[in-house]
Amino acid sequence: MRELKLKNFWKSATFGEICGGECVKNFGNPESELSALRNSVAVCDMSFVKKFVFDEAEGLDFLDSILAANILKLRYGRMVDTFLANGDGNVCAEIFAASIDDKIIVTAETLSPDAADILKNGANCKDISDDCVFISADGPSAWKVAKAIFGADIFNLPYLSVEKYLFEGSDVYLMRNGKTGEFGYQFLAPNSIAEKLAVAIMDAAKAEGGAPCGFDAHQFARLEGNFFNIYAEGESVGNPLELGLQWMIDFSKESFAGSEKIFAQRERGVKNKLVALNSNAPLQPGTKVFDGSIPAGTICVSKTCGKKHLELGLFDAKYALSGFEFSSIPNGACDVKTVSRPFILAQSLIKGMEQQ
Amino acid sequence: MAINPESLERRRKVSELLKEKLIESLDISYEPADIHEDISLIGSGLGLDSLDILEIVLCVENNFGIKMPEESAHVLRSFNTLVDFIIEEQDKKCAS
Repeated sequence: MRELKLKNFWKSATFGEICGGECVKNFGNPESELSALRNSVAVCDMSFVKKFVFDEAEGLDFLDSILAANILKLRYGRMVDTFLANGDGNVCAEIFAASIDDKIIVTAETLSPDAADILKNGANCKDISDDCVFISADGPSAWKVAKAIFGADIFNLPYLSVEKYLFEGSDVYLMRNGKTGEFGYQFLAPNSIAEKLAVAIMDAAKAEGGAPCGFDAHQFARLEGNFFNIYAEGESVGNPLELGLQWMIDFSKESFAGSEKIFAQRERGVKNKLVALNSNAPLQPGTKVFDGSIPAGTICVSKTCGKKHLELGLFDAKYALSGFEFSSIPNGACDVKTVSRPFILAQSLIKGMEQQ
Repeated sequence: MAINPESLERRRKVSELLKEKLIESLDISYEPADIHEDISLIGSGLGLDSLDILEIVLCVENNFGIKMPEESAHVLRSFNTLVDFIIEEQDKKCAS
């Protein structure tokens, strides 16, 4: 297992493992960590994410040949959110590719330790997963944390942008690609300055009433905010079209990894779709949901955070519409309702809209 | 209790029409079937900007005869929240 570089820094944390990488699960109270994320700012060590660097010239062509999005359209200072599929056309890694400094920086959340190894076959690919830390700050005040450290006009940095800053004599890449619905930034920095940067981020976060946050609360925030989570619905469903990830795909491309299967299914049509649910009590993954006596779908994600619980179901496409009541037992009383995502109205969305 | 098929059909029809009209208005390079009902409109997902938001407002007002609110952030969180709003407004119109 790849150990977290900042393990000693996050003293009070409970640690876990994600696909061969150590992660911070929580700091003892995911509910208050989620509250910090929704109301001020939460800092999460995401260093378990795989990180790669490519020379831009060769990297663009290579990445375009395997990733679902059109990487050739990636412009300087911008990022693209897409996925890597396996031979069966199922999602095996969520990928962010960022273009900056004649380089393409790729971060990958993978379903298995070796799921993104195909990336290493790219010309001049350098795996920097063990050389760098990756720390996120998410929340309505997250931009103030980045501004306190870099002193720049961070608020106006568009979503899916990347910028480079100097911190303690080293380059730090700041990526705005949060996955919670709030302002969200990720700091990619070399291990040599990791602790000093973590101290600066935490000091700035605490000044805004923020707190450290584990990946448990972060994952719940992804679900609340309607962001794809490869470790939840990604793992249980796999099929990118059933997951509703068509927006990550450029269907005009001739091919990419898994494209044959994905294109064929698109032609046939999608039979099942992911749908958000409100239920009276938490329902375990695998629980069937019925319209009268007719099976309508199956619970595929169930997450709790304190008293809150949210579910996603994989439903027959004809039932995968918001606003309808179902039962978790055949011909039973209605105890599950399909609802529209996102589950929450993020404060950052209101602040962002006010600025436009 | 079984779901009312008419309600299901109504939701489907509003969704399909909105998909078609948004693709047309915003020149989106997807087929209606490619647009998942929970897709985000702003940021990730369709990745629309403030100019696109104006187009969405016009699209809804012109095709569904509904006035969008001044503060529309909550309505524009996703395709589904926009459909929720359209159906609610249609129901209000019918009731009045």
